[in-house]
Amino acid sequence: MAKETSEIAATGTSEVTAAVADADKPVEGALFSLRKLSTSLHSTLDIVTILDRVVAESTAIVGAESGLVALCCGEGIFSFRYFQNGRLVPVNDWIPGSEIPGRVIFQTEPYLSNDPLHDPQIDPLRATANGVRSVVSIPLVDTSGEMVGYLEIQNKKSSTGFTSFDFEQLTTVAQIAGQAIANAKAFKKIAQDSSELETRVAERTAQLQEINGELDAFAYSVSHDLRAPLRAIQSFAEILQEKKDKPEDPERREYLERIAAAARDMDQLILDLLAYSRLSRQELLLHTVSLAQVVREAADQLALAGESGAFRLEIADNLPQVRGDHAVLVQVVLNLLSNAAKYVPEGVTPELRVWAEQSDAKVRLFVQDNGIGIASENQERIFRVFERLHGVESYQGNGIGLAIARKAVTRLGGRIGVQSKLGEGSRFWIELPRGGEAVSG
Amino acid sequence: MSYVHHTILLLDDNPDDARFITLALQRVGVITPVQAVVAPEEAQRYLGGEGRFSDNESFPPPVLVLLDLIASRAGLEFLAWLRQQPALQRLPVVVLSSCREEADINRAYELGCNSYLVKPVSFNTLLVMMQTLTQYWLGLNETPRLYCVNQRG
Repeated sequence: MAKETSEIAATGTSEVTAAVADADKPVEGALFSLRKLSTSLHSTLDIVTILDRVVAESTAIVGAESGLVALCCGEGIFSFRYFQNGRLVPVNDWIPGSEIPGRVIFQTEPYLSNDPLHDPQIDPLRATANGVRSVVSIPLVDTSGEMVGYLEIQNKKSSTGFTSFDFEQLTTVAQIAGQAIANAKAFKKIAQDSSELETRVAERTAQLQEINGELDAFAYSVSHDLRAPLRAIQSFAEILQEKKDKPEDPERREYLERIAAAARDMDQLILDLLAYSRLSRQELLLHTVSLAQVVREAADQLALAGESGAFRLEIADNLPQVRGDHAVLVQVVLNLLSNAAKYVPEGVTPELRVWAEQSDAKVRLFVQDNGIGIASENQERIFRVFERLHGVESYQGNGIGLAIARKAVTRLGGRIGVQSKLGEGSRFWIELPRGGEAVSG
Repeated sequence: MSYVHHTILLLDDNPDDARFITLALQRVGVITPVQAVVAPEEAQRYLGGEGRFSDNESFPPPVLVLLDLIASRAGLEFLAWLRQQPALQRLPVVVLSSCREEADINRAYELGCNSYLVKPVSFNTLLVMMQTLTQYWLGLNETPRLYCVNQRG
């Protein structure tokens, strides 16, 4: 180190007063200052505090007038801290060039000059402009050799140059500072990583809570809705057993029919539960899908199922294309249509109307009915899984159809909603991204 | 033992369950017809003697309400309503639910039910349950005086 320092110092200027100055500096005092600085730098993880302490202590140790410290990375130098006579002075950002600091930074070699005006390495115009009479420039390097910053100590008024001992001390300061900055940067990165992690944990927790809520609803359904038909089957069977000696009892036939119907309800409920659960997991590949075809298929399936009895359906021409999954959308539209056809006052023929509206990026498909309507306080509830507003007595159904529709539309990146008033019918809508040539496949 | 002046009001939206409960009550000696309704609004009209329930002879005031929690737990809302009616707040209410959810049980008691039973899957078990229920609530239990009895009587 000493050898290197003296070599570098020798390139600086001819009148090196190092040997004289060395004798004046008490080594113990210097060691004490360095140890104090080291403790002070490692006691904080705030980078600006570290920079301020580095520049303040460095100027104090060598008795210089001003000092400048900054961080650097591939793009240049930033976070300047410039101290003059113990006070922080504002500095503009600066890009290192061919002058001494630039050379020091690019070659990561320290440099001492006690006569910049006559130093062949220093542009005399720049030296005159800045009025620097002696300068030490040192890169701040971490233990892995990576350059993290830059320190420069200057005298502008005092003619006393820097000694090789000053130079050595400042080199040691730079080593300590480089490591302290590297530590603080590492800490900052860990803090940032952990805050990103926290955000991800929070997002994940929200997802899990939603899934948990669905699981609760599922457990409720299993205990409530699935047990109801089971209770019917077992109870009717037990009553039938009592009547086994009366084969002509007309109630026998009715009970058997109820058993079969309860088994059918149960099967439908299990199928719907599976469809709902599959929709949550299934990978969906989005294609351009023709809504006209989707609505036609759904209408055919509704007529085929026959559960809704007679209904009138009017489908608008020229339904647009959307981005989605054909089979899933048929299921969604079928559920909307069968819901619309189901909830009508007794004796009224369901009249359904389907049309679409387009905006720049979205398509909204409407399903309008002449049914009993939905009170505003229930309009959100109907989309929740297993919610049913009406007793089985008045309307058939297990309440999963609309929940399936919402889950499906959400999975397709769309939205679902309803406009309705009690007694005035309902207008359900789904909104999906527009399809077309540009986004096909 | 038979119960001849003991009207039970049953609120259950599941017609099969209502049928089993009615049948079981008849078998264990409830001779007074069980009054079964499927919706909370209907139960409110019954208790108020309104509309088709205005005939006091055919639809006498109940001594006991059997309450299913029904879809969307509307039964709990009905219970809350009942306990806010000065004329009805003393009426004994036994919840008869298909659900053993702790939250529902706690809520039902908070709202003032007098007992909470879970519907059994088996009709024979239901018979035993209804036998115990009638012995206790219609036999042993002292019924409070309801204001609505005075008003309507």
